[in-house]
Amino acid sequence: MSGSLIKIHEVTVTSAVSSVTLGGSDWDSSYDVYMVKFSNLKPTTDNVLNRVRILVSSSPVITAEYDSANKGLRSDTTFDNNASVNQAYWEFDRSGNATGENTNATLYLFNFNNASEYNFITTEFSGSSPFDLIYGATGGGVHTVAQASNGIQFFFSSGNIDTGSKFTLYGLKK
Amino acid sequence: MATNLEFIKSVTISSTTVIDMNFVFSDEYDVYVLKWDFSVDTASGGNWNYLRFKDSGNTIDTGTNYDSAVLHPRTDGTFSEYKLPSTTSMQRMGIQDQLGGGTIFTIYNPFDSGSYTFVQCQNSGWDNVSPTRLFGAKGIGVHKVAQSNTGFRIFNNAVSSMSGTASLYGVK
Repeated sequence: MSGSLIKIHEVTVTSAVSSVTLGGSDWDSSYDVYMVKFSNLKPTTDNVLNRVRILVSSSPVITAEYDSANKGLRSDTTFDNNASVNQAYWEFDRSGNATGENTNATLYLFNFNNASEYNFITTEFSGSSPFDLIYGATGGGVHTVAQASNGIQFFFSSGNIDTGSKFTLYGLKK
Repeated sequence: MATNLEFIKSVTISSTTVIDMNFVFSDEYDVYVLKWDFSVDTASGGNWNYLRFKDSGNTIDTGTNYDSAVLHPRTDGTFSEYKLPSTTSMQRMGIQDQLGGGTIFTIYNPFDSGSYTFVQCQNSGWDNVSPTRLFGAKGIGVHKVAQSNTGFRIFNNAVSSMSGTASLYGVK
């Protein structure tokens, strides 16, 4: 069957790791837009923040050029307006690791193969926070350097990514 | 080249108050996309999508095991926030009235017995009772029971008769 959502790279964590990368040597530059889905993302340390970086030449970019803005959705109180500029990573949502808890998301990546424009990301997170409530974030981010990139890295503000977390990169066929 | 968005099932309803999909989740997929496109038969305003899950015996969970958090963008005023912990369904996951609308749900880990079931919704709809207006939703929900869910039911808070089609896809 022909289709337009093409799987490029998938990683399922089989033992706890400090970070997961999608792309790099597995990157396929033939797409304009990419979709990333992760599911069952669990930290080894409770109450940590989800962080994301781009890869350039297969290495994570750690300089402070990430801006993000999102609406934090939560079931306990007023929704959060989260915004940051010139950070060393994008930061979205908060994860807990009690029984049943995990974090899930759909991301879209734009302009990653375009060396003359910034890299953009949209984010939709849904998960359980360490405070026993539904917590998510809807928003986006930009990396303010006009350069081509070839992947994305996930890590937590503290601790490791636990076993069973699954990350998949897709290309949207032109 | 094979696609990684795989059609599972489509259900069309006509003038009924609920739509069910039974035994559609399996260990073949972790993530599902559900397209829900319907209109109610008579304009009544405020027909919100409600969602419940069914276990491996096809029994609907009607307990207070659902949390929702939904932002409603709207053209007539301040965006509304709904914080709905420990309710008997995922609630206010998009509005659809007599002139229709559309909702995309993304459903994570429904069949995983070790995980809660998580949902995202994105909706654009039309409230067809004065003041008529564009009314949408961006929301999240969780079914707080670690069990294998195999199906779901969608209904609306007004128990309005509705017609439309739901299509479910697996993301491989």
